[in-house]
Amino acid sequence: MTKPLISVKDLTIRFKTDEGLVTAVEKVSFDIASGEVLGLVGESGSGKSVTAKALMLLNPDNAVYDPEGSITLNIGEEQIDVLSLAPKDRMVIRGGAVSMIFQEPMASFAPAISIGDQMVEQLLIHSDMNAARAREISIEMLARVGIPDPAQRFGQYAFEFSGGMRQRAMIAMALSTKPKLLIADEPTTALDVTIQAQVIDLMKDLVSEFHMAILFITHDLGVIAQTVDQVAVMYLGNLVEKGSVRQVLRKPGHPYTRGLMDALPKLDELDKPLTAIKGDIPSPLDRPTGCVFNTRCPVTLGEECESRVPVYTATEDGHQIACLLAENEGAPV
Amino acid sequence: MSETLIATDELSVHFPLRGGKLFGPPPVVHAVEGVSVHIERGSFFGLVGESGSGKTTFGRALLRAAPITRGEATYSDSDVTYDLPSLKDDDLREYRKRAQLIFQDPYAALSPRMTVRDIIAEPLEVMGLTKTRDETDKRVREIAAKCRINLEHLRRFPHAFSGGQRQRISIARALVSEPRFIVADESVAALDVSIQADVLNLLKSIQLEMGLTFLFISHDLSVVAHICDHVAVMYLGRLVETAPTRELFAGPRHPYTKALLSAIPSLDPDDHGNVQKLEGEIPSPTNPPPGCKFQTRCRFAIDICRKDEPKLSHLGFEHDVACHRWQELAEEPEASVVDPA
Amino acid sequence: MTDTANVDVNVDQKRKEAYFTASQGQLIWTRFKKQKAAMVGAAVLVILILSGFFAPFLTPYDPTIAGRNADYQNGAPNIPSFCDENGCSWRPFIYTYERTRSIKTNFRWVTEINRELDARRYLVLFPQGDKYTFLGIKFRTHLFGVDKGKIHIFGTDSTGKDIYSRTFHSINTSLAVGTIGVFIAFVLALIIGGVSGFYGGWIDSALQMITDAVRTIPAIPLFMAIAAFIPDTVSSEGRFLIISIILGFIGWPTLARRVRTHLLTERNQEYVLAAQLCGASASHVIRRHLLPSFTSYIIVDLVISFPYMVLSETALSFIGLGLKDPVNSLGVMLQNVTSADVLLNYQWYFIPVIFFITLVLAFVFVGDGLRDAADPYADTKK
Repeated sequence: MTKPLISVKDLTIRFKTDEGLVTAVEKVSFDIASGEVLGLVGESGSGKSVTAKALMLLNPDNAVYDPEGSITLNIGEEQIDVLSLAPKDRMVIRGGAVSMIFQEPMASFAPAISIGDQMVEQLLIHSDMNAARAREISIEMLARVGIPDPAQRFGQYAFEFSGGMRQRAMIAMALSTKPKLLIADEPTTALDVTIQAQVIDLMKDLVSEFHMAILFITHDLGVIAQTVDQVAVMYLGNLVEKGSVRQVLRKPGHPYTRGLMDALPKLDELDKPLTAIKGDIPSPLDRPTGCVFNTRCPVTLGEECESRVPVYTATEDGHQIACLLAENEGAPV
Repeated sequence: MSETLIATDELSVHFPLRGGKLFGPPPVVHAVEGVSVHIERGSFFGLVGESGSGKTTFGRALLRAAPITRGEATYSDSDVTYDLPSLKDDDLREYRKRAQLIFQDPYAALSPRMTVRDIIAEPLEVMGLTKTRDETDKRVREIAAKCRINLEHLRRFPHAFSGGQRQRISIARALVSEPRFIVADESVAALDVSIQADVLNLLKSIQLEMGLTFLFISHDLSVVAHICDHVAVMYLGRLVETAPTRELFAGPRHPYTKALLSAIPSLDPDDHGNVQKLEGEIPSPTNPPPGCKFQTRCRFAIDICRKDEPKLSHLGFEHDVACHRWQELAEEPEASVVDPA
Repeated sequence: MTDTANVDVNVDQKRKEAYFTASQGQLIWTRFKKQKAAMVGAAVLVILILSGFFAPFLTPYDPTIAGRNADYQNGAPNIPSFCDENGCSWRPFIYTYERTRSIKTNFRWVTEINRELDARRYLVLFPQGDKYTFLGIKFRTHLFGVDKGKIHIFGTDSTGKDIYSRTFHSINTSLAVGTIGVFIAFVLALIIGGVSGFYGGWIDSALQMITDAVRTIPAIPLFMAIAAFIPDTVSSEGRFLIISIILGFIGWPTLARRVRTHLLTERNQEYVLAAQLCGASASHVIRRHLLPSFTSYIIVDLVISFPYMVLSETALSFIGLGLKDPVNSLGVMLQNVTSADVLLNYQWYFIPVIFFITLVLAFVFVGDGLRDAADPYADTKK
């Protein structure tokens, strides 16, 4: 069995703040195989962005990585332990083997340098090619992501692109170094829905063409359904459910996932009222003891859920749920 | 028999652009152009569109927070009738008591320097609706309870609250003057899904309890489908289709509405939707295409579409659509596709 | 796997509630307190301001000609000591300095130190000394002095005035000039920047042009011109006032620009729109939303402008265009340090410079600290 492209085990990240040590991510584990798309779903405070940034060591200086956790990158024969990379070696993962695209494309491009120059700079850093070849490849990539007149657009600036175009340009820039793993942090959230559909299609095409793995972070379950193979659901820093997209969306096992599905307005169920998950997401300063979701869980076992952190219960086909109920009764089949 | 609370006729909002030609009139952005709608009393009226559609500007124009360049708009409840474009001074102040706005961004809509109690009380104080501090406090507590705000939290400042809680404070502030008409501008867009449902349920229950009329502006069709009675779709400042909710979602007639609906990603991983994905970008509002504004991205566009702007045609059952070819498209959609030349 | 490993610090209920009910002012103060440099600066600033304020009491002599020691001109600093070759004593003492002239010294005045045991002059606390008026009441008591003659901790200048006394009085003067200057600049900036930022449009453009024009006026030539115009008949207090007013008139453009920027930003905030949609009048919006919003910014700007005022006054007085004797300011004290004689022989003339640098640095640290504390406004992100 081939090793997964990236393997995250028991990743725990805390931040040093004025109010003390705040846990942002707790014992998160997942694997992504080559060519696979993993969706990381969560709301605010879930820790999904912090997790993603950890893969490229992009978290701010006050982040504390628990030594028991690990992030392992398997590229070819090489195995890289990301968390222990020296600063000078981090270039390999940033933009090289791993690339990232963000929610706000306007914020990712330098406003006073042309898009083309920024793409070329990226290529020159991560490869041996000369400037002319870098330019050629950049224009090719711009064309590949569906930007018309790529040669002309190459010399334009970020403000001359519309929102959807900028996002495509960002994808082009991220892919030009042919990364093994693309991290997409809420790439479609800021886009209009008709543009979002285009960008999702584009990403799916690119996955099959480049045989790239994608870590797709979003709060939008619809986008997840259409784009990913595997889903991991996060709540307040913990990974509560993991499985294939069909498993998780059709038969959600964790009360939180079920709550999310119920709270979503669905076009084909207009008669059903929207059921909210009661309460508010607790502040990270106020993390509940035991199972993180117990304060809002409609089927909480009370004291038991407050005192014990659930282990994963798994079905044979790999659907994992972190819930005491699932432990007791077995995961839904 | 419900009556019309807000009626607009060819309402337009134009903004002049800075810069442009040295001589002659400055270029103008037609943020809203020729929109005619009827909003019934007690209804939950949805207004959807993407960026540049003009939906926010329209909502603000109805509150006189954006200037009405042309057209008519009338507000009429059981007591008074106002002609909105010409409202001034005392009448305008009276209107402001009856029509309020809930903002999108819960983080920007509350003054960080005022306590929650003061924020909610501000409309009462500004409009002089209460005489004593006690009376104000009583009204504030009443409305806070209705919006499920913990009364002990009234002493706190906005920074103490999450997005969903802040939005409830925003709602309380809008409701405290007992208005009849509320414009909710993307009021749930910035909230997490689990909180969104909560706030939507709150809005719905308040509407029923207080007999309010809502104009619900959103880009999220699924939300609108669940909560609104009637929906209007805008594109580049123009109204392209309007119908009762079920009717619109069951049988959209305008190509844009159809594309919008099919672009919503389905929660079923195996359902990839029908292939109606739109190509191209939304045109810039400063440089709109001639004729029908949607023609640049419409698969069914023919010559007339490029020359004449379609007017709203009435289909019956309160369903209007602005498309030259709506009839043909309803009968034989696929046959009407025009191959790009 | 039982896990209660909440390594998080348990923030207790009272502290949380305090945080939730803290107004912006209190939040800023809490953030300010965490910055060590700023707190040190604030402490130093408070000490210096108080020293300047209580200068007449803290210093032994009158800083003007009236309090000079004619027998000890250009005298080196007298540092009190406890012990010397004649034994130790509980009370600190200094030596007697005698000025003699004799044929031995070629009839030049020479200062001799008398280190005899009985020529010691002991420090006394709360002696009666030169008269002074403080808060309208006449006093004679000073903090310390010597039983015989005078003590000059920082030495004296060419006319015999005690530099120590002058230094502390001058802090007061410089601060006073700075305060008046900042106050005038602030009032002007509020009015002009306020109108500009609040109304926008052509009013804004017109006022901005005026602001920029005033800002480009070079200060030195302007001062030279005005200094030439002030008649000598104007009293030193009058001169003091005029200089302060001029500083204020030159300083307002920068502040006005800041006020305008703050207003322009705040004016477009959604909560302002919310108030306007209730029919709030312009004065209500200004009073309840705009003014409180930039109070903290403006305080920061004021604190940061202060050192510039003090610097400007010092520089101008130093080159002789500002205040003159007998009005005492740090700049005036520095007027005398330019000659080679001083540089080589009377280095203690530079002691006021240390105070001056400390004062400016303290202001800068406090201003920076305030700015950092005020900036991360309660904008928590999703």
